[in-house]
Amino acid sequence: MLNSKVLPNLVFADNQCILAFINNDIKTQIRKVLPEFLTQFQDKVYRGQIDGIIRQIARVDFPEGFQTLLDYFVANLKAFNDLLNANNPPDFLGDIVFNFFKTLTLVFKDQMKDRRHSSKQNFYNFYAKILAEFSNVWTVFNTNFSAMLGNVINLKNSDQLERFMKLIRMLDKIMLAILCCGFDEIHTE
Amino acid sequence: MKNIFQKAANYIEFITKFKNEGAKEVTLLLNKNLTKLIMLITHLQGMFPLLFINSLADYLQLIKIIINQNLDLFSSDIVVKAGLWALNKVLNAYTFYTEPAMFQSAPQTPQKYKNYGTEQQLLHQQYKANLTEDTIEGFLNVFILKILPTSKEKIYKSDTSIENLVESGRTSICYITSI
Repeated sequence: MLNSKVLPNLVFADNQCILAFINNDIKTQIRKVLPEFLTQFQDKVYRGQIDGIIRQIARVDFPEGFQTLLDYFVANLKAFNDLLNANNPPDFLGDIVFNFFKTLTLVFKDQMKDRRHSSKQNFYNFYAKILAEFSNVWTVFNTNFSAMLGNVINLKNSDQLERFMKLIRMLDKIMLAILCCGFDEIHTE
Repeated sequence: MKNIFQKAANYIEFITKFKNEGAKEVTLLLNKNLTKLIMLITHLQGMFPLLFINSLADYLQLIKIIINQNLDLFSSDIVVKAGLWALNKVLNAYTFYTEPAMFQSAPQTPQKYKNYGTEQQLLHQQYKANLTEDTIEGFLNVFILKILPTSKEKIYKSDTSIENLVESGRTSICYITSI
């Protein structure tokens, strides 16, 4: 995938050059380091670049070929849930949480379009994992929406209000994307 | 699915509340969120027509509220457009919600779906109960009396703008396309 997507414009006379440049070890390294970058960099400019690269790779490789990203998503969702269960919610309007959900939205948006991993088997293997963690976050936002919105309105900061509403839109989008990716035929529950 | 429809209902409730309080900015943002949610649900329904086994009635109710309330409640017409799109998708999936016999014999029905007779029957009952003659008449009334005149007004306005441009001699395609 890295040959065709990340380096689409690099034309070598001999295709072996590309293969030698992006060998499997480098690909593994890139896939390992990108989720770490997501944790380290929250600056808008860097983050945009990293998100763009992750999106390109995830379009084809996620989730089977991009296990580190899946682990990153699941681990962070678990951490959010732990904080929520301990009645100590993270700062959802802070850059870390907001950027995390933004990346998740970008990755899932492409998954929903392509539906490469839409079989039931893949749902149970990958999306069920994410759905199990994510549904709790989504439910918490749903049940406390009124109170949260009230708090944000009281801040009298239109940027924060817009950010909050954008976050809610992203959560809805992720929820529906997980359902789209996961269902094969029909859902009877 | 029930939770998702509940969320859409909550949005409508909040829009009503904030509109009455005169909070324009919040109302606009809530409109945007509701539109996005409807579009996502519509996408899901289009992909999986047999998905809303226990919630097709809720979905049709939601569409009904959005179209019937239209511009009285929603401050921008994007919500109404999303509602119309949702209705269009439901009507396009008629084969899946029609009489079971027709569903089984329709050439448009994919072979794999023909095993879901019971589910289709449930969907048909909800479809029949909610998309009644009165409801369709109500939709047509809203289209003719409320939505179409608004669109006509917009077209008229843009026509006027083009006339002004012609009068002022600014007939370049760049000016006209920028309206």
